Amino acid sequence: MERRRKKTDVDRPAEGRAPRTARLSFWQKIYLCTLALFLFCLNAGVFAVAAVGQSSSFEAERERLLTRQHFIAETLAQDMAAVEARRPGALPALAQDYALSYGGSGAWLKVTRGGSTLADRLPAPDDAAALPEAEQEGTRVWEVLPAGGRRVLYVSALLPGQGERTALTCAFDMEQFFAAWGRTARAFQGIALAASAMLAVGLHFALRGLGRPLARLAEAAQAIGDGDYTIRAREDGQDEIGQLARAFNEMARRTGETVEGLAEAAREKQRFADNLAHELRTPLTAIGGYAEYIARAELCGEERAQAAQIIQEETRRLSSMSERLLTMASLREGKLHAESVDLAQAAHAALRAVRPQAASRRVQITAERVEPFWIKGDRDLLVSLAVNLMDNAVKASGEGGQVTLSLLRDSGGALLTVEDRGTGMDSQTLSRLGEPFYRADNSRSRAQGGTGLGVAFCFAVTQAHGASLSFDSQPGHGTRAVVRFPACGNGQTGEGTHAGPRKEKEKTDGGG
Amino acid sequence: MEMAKILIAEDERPIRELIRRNLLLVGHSCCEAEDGPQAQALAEAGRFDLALLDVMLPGLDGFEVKRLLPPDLPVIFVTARTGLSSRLQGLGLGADDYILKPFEILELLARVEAVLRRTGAGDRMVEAGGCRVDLAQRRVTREGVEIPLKPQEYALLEVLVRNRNLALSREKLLELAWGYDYEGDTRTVDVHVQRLRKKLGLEKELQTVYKLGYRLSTR
Repeated sequence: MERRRKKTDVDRPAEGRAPRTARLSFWQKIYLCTLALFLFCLNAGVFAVAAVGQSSSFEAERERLLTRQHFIAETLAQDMAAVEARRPGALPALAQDYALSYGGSGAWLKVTRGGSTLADRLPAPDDAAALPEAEQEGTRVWEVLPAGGRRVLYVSALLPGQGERTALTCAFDMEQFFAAWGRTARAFQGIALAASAMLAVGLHFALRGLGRPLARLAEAAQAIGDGDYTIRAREDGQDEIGQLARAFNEMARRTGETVEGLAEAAREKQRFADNLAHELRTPLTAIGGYAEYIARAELCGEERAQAAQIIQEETRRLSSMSERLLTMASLREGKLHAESVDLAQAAHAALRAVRPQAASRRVQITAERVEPFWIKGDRDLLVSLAVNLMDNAVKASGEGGQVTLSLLRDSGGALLTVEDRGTGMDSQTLSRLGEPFYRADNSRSRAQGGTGLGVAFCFAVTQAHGASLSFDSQPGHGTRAVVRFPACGNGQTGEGTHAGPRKEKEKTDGGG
Repeated sequence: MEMAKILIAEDERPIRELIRRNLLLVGHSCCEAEDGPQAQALAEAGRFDLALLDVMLPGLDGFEVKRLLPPDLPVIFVTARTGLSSRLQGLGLGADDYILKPFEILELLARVEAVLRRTGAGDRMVEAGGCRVDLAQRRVTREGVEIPLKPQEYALLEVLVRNRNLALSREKLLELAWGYDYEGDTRTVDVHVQRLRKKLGLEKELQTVYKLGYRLSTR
């Protein structure tokens, strides 16, 4: 047991007592997976967007600069061609003039003709890196090189229409472009970081909120596992967890009911056994005691006869008790000897059996209307049922009392009613009526030789016949017992043989 | 000749009757109640030396009746309940003893006797066939003259007197007068009974009951 408890503790990381660091809860796992996946996707996306953006902007900027270079080269080539025709000695001056004038607008030039340099205002690239040099006319060669802490685009081309091989190399400062791009990239990074942080926090709370019902469900399940069936999980939401909580609560309710039902059945059995033991002790005490009394005491004939009579009476009580119990047990198992029986005949037979006893108590029994009604059942048991009901009515009535019996057809079925104007019963007594060995009036019942099983026996017989028995009583006004036989009263359906007798009972205060 | 006045509260008529008859045989007088309120009313109306209360009485149960009785009235509970809690409750309430149904008559009488001896209630003089037995002084006289008895003879006589009018087997007499651990022959009993008959002149009263044992008749 101890080991099992420990194990379940470890299996419950969501609970406060279990170490949180030892294992991650379900929502924490989801959180970490989602966060990792998102961060990867976000950063990869930002990186890709930045890379594509930078490369296309760079190309646009380069194209612009190349166009400018082309324009410079075209004008220089024309001017040089014109100067060469009239004054070839002025070519270096032209080149230097160009270099000077363009140097002011951010373009540095270097012009070489033949092997000599006509003008050179190019910034020198760092580490004396080699500058690009065009090999053929009509092609351009370019390269971005760092120069004095700045990035510079060097473009080299051969000028067209020249007598001698003339090369023009332009250098454009791209530092501003790269600096602007650096700012953009940092903005991207900042946005990505902010989005990641917001996501991390938002996801944390969202998933923790979503995981909480699950954790509560786990706690409730644990509580039920420990045997508390009254625990219910909170049923909020229509999602799977809400459905799970509802299904879980339903399961807990049914399990609780089943367990409670089993416990109640066990208690009832225990009560029955206790009552039976008690009920057996009384006649056994009397039988044993009087036998000992006869053996030990010096008795006259009358005393001896009295003692022997008590022994006989108590023995009879024991045997009728055991007979009742056996009959009830076999009825519970659904064993019923079924034949066609006329209830009216059975009622008359019962009437004949009870009348002498009723007469000795000066109680009058009258049969009001007894209509024939055939059912399938055990005649002896049905007679016994009617005898028991009338017997109880007679015992409840004082001298000069009246008991009426009637059997009426009613919507296809039949109602057997026994009514008295005797002592009646309160609702507490009514609710316990039918419990084996429960006596409404203890001393009177015993003095009259009752076994305490009469009403329980009646319930067993009515149930075995598919009928229902209800009592309707008011203290001081009398009691009405009604047996309701269904339309096709069939004793072999075995219906209700599992139900306890009290479930059939009605507790109304109609009065008799 | 009356020894003690005893109140019997028991709802089962045959058992109440059984207890009453046996208590009468050994010389007690009885009043009967068949439910709790009746028992309480009787106890208020008269003086009793002992009450025998059934636990499962209608009206008021035995425990409730005990609470309402005078505290100095000794009580023995008679119960069919075997549950430990009812025993404890019974004894915790100041009951002097309890006895479980089904019980043997001799056991019931022994417990009644034990309680009465403890409280010193009732007449301690018993007359049997012209002999007066003084249970308090442990002396026997016949027409005013004391008859000397050996201790074992007196012990046997006392058992017979206390259970008078009831037959006791030789084994029972050995157990009660000699003690559980006595390993003597049952013929020892016969010898002692013979001596008692002779010394006290109780040939007629100290009867041999066929196949059972001996009985001291005082009726």
